Amino acid sequence: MRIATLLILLMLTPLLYAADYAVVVARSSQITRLEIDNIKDIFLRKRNFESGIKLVPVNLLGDDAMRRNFEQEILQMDRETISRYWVSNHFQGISPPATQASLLSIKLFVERVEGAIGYLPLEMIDSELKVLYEF
Amino acid sequence: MSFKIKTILLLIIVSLAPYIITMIILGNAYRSDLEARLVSEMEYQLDITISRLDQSLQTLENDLRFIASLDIMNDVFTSDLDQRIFNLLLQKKSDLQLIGDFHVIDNNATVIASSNIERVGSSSIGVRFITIPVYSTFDQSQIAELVVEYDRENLSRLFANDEYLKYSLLANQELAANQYQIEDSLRVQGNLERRPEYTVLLEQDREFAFSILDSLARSFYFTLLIGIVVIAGIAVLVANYIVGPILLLATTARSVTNTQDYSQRVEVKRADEIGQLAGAFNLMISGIQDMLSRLKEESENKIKLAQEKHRTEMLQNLSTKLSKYLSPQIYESIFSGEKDVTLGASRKKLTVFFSDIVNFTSTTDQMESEDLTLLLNQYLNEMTRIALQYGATVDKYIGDAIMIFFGDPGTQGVHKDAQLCVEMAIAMQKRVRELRDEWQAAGFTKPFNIRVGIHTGYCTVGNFGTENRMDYTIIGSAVNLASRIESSAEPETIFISEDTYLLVRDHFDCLPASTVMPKGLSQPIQLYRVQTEVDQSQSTILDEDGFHLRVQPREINPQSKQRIQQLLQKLADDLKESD
Repeated sequence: MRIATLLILLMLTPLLYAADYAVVVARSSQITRLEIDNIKDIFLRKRNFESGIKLVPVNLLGDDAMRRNFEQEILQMDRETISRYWVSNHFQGISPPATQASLLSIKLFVERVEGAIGYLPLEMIDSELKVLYEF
Repeated sequence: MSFKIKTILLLIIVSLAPYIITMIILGNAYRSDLEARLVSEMEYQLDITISRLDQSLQTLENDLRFIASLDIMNDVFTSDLDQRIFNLLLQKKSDLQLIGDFHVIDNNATVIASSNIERVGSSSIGVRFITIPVYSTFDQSQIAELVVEYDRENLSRLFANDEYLKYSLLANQELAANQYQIEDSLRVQGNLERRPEYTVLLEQDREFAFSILDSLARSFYFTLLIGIVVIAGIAVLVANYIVGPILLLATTARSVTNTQDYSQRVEVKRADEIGQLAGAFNLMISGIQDMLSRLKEESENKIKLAQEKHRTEMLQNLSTKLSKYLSPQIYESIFSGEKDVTLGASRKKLTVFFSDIVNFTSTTDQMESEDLTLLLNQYLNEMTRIALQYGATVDKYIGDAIMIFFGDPGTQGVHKDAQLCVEMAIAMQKRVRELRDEWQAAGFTKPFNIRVGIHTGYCTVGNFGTENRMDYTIIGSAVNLASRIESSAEPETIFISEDTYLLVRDHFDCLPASTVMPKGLSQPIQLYRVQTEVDQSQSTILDEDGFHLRVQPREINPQSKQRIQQLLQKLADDLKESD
């Protein structure tokens, strides 16, 4: 019971933080909703088109907590796994997503680049953006 | 110009000429080739430099392309909000030490990012030296341009310029305007491969470029000077080596000529041609010396011979003259060496002859001296000739008297000597008679008559006197007796002693005549008169005033007899008629 309770708690923990961030696209984007797996595939460059639009995932540069959170929540991979993944895909001509150094630049990038898809804190999301997934 | 100077000059010219000619040819060739070499070297350096510049530009372009390809360029979409491009460009500018700036210009021609922050947001930039398109990393669409404003100094600072070698990076229009850094220079140029509108000009100061040649020339002239000095020194030594012995030869030859001292020699101890010349010269001098010595000797011999000949001739003349005073037999005996001209005598049996002219003094007193001399000389000459004809030795003339003997130095035996002496006396008498006729015909009124005495006896014959003055003669009682006999003889007669008579009586008719008492003898000596031809044939002699007649019947030849008869008959008739 206690274990079940713990598991439940553990399962509920993300829900406790899920409302902080969101995967966003430009308001003008044709994309309206994506599942977490879809987002994962997009950021792992396994899925490049959505609704006939070439997708441009943009990642936050560096070792920011938000990026770690995104990788943990969405990609569900630690940094080392991700690094090995990109090394192995590099030789197949598949590069990691573009990066931006700041959340603001991610916001602008998503707004200005067609097909761009990024993640931002919820508080930065304004009317120019469209939330596809919150976490 | 002396041979020595000529030799020195010739040696210098011959030694230096190839050197100078070679140097001039090499110098000219080098000078003409040097420029080409320098230009070639400059072109090589220029190529390297241009290559470096092109490489630099290529590197720059590569860098730009690399920058353009970076993901970070995606920040163009966010207007380089995070200034990542700016930092990158600034870093690159710093790394490249770029003189100029990098700019990222978006598709709206607005500077989004720049190494010069002031230019961000600007829409105008300077000359775009290089423009590289920037594509997004995700859809390869051109999102911007990466532009570099580039100062030429970025390239020119790569030039390794110095005072004499200068590079210039010129735009073509600048090159056309002759913007040279060095006025008088060697120039090469080349265009950048990547930027053909730019020309790299390399100039090298011509004076500096050829300074190596000038240095070489200076070295050459210095070497030439040293060479001239050395070769001149060697030439002087060689000339002395060659000419020295020749001068010595000339000096010696002049010395020999001036001093006539042919004992001089040239001391040249060498085995070469000059040594041979000196040897030949010495040999020649030696030969001349020997020849002169021989000539001198021959000359002396000739002089001696001439003197000897002169002396001989003089002696011959003298002896010829002396011979007049000597009997030919004595003369020949002495000069043939049979007799030594030394004091000494020997006893021999000789036939001694004496003759004199009867009444010579009274006859000659009335004659002129010249006539007397003429007559006497002719007489003595004729008598002597006869005496010599019979082999007699004429001892001496004593005034009008003649002393002759037979038996020394040559003898044919006592008998023959006595016989020859008597024959001679007869011949003399005959000749005197003939001379008398001639003298009478010549106007001498009282002609000579001679008388002769002959005796045969032992005499001492030889040289008498002193070592300085001697006479070859005979002495002894026989000589005195012969003189006495001659004194006893009658005119135109020949008286001989009994001793002679006994020797010749078989050959001559002799009649006893008077006697004579020689001194120191107690008995008189019987004399004999030799019967001459006159005695035997003279039948008539008539000597009157105005008429002289002498008849010698034996001598009248048959052809003359009739004419004589006719003459005498006519004379008789004339005389008779004159009465």
